[in-house]
Amino acid sequence: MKILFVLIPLSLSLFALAVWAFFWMVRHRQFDDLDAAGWRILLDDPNEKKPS
Amino acid sequence: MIQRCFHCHEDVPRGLNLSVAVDGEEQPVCCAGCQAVAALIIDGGNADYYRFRDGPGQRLSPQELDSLEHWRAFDTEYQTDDNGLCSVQLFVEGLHCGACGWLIETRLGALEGVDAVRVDVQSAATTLSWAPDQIALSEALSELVRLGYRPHPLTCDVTREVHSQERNGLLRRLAVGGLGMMQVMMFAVATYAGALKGIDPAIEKLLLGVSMLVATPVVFFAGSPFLVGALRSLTQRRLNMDVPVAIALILAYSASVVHFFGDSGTTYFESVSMFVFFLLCARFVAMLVRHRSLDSQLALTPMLPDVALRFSNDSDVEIQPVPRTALKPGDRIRVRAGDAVAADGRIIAGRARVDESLLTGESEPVLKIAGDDVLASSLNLDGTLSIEVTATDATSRVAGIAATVGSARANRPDSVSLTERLAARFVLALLIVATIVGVIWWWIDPSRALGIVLAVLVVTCPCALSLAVPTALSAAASRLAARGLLVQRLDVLETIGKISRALFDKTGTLTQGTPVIDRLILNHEHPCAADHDALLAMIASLEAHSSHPIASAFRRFTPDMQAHDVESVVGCGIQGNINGRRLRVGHAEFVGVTGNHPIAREASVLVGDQYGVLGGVVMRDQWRDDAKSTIADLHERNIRCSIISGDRSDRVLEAVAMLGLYSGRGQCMPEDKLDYLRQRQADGEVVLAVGDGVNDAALLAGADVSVAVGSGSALAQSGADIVLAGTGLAPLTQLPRIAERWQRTVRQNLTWAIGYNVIAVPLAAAGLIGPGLAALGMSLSSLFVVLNSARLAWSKEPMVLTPQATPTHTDKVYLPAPIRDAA
Repeated sequence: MKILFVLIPLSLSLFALAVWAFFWMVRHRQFDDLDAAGWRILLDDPNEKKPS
Repeated sequence: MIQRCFHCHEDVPRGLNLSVAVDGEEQPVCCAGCQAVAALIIDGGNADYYRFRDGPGQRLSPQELDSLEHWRAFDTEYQTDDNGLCSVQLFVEGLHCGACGWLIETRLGALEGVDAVRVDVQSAATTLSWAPDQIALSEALSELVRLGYRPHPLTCDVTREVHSQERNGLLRRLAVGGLGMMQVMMFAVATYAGALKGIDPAIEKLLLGVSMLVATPVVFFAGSPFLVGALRSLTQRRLNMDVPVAIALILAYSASVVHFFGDSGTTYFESVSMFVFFLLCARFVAMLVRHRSLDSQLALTPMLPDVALRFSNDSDVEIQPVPRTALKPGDRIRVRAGDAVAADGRIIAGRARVDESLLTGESEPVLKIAGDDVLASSLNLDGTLSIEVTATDATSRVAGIAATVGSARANRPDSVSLTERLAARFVLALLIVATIVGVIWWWIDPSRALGIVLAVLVVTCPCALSLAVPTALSAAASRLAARGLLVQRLDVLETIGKISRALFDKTGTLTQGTPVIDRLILNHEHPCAADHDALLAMIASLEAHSSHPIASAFRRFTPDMQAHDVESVVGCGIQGNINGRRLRVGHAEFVGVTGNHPIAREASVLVGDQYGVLGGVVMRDQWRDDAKSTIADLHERNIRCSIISGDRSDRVLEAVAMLGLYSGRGQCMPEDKLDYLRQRQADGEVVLAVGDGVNDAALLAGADVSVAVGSGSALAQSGADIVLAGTGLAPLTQLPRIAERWQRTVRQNLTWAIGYNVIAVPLAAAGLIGPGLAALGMSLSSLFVVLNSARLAWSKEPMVLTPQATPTHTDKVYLPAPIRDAA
């Protein structure tokens, strides 16, 4: 049962990581428009990366 | 055969020979504007837009396309941030599908100096950020116009930001709730297994401790909406669904903590977490429904122009474009013919006919002269006006109307709140039952009382009940939206199934609303009679200078001649010199003949010179392509379709015959329309009204279900229950189908939720269900409801169904003897 002392912290840190990742996604507005990503990959960009 | 414009799908006028090359093939276009837009899109390598778009593009005139100067007004409006970038949110008229979004993102994103373009298709918004030292905003905006869209920089959507914050807050809570629930369940399964097979008490303690660690943020962060909601409802002395939820949460959590530290009794960390997560899901779905119904509010604002032409301080000639919002009382602005007035004000010079129909409902234009007041958003049809501004943008009359409409909509009770009221009673009953059960068990066996009270509170959670209607509404609304019907008031879905009569307005609803040229009549007796093409070219070159609604029918011709000294005569027509000849286009009297002239009797637009009438144009309003099939389909569903119009009775009768309508009535004032509607309702009919204009507003407001045509006026749309997206009527046929399926789904959901509670409450009260099992039962019950509703949105039914058997509800509706009424 010693394995628990590895697995429990591991699962808790995964929990924390997942929550952090989700918050990050929300903060970066990834859930604002769920449809756009679908067509964005379907259509090619005719103007290759512009010089910025 | 009539050809369709490749860009905007409108008819290409006969004899016009304009085209664009697409993949080596020449495609016809209807006007120089569409040609320019299509050529720009295709030559820029974005021909994919035409393959993937889901609707036609907008038609813009060549004058509109050249808008760089116009947008200069906004070049100095925006502040740079720390990175030297500016950003603005635009409402983009004409943006309706993913392909539009792609087109805008790639084309604007390719401009030098544009940092980022983000398009939100659902709200037709585009967020643009740019480096002002490399590119002026006006250049980006005019590029957007050249692609066939109309940007509105001033239509910023505040509700959107609020919505986005609310949604993001709930998403965070969902994440913590969902992930936390899974963790706690995992530990809980270990302890369940331990209870069966035996477990070291120290390890069990450890697992429970970790469960508590994870359940704490789940209850107090993810569950905070319920705790806060319950607190608020208690301070307002009202009961809502949050109250038993909060009681159960607090009770279960604190009991578990006490039991954990007291080393005795059961803990409920896993039940609590699951409870929170599933309730949050319900909350989230309800929020989506609410937001969707508010989205279409945006449609109200773009009736004001973004740019006003302001006279420089002490000059009467120097004019500069400024943003509408920069106008202050005392400023003097110029309003050109064809432009909308930007601010409330008083005319100081000029005279013009002004169309105020958006505000006053008066469909006839009013002649205004110096000293008269004009209101923002009214349209200057002819003549140039100078106006002294009397109110700021925020205090204008139209802003007041928009605010009233907005608040009226926000306060409207709907069926979601109906279930909330039902639930409040349910909650009260539940609290009483739980108390009684608790007291009884305290007498029988105090050690089991807490667990059983919790089980009762959790198992009966009004979850399934409260989800039954909103989830079905949301699913039905998204399905309707996919079919081109934007539902603004969700509670009409209940009524749709009972509709027995549909009233259609004629102009703009059954017809396309913009007059098209039917045919030309030539006067061969005229000394220098013109032929077909020459006559059309003359009219087109004169009308190019006019903004009268009829002029738009001629705008698609690009005449090879130029008119000079053009002057529009208010209320009569337009005159000008073409090839040294003075020509007049307009009324019979204006052209120099009486209304009894053979041409004047048929044609509504006449052309003449000093020697008399050259010819006339018969205008015609085109039926919508799908009007006939839509009406036939509605008739098959036992909905009687009638036309009710302000037009002449003979034209209305013609429509009845043409489209296969049940009855028709012409020469109706808005009040007559409402009277007719009231009569039908008094006869026991449930009436669907379909209209487009302000003159239909009363009809739409009085109808049981109202549908506004998407191209109609903003005020008509804001008052309607449902707005038709796109240009056709065909989506209407989906209404009764989806409403019927919605009703069936709601009935199933409610039956399930009530049946479940009826069985589960006695079992829990008898102590046969523990809190863990109760939470599971509750969750499964909610899940059933959600999935059942989702079937409504997911299932792929064919677009055209075979007509179903007579719907049962129409049997109950009293149908009066058919009356063929034409006044």
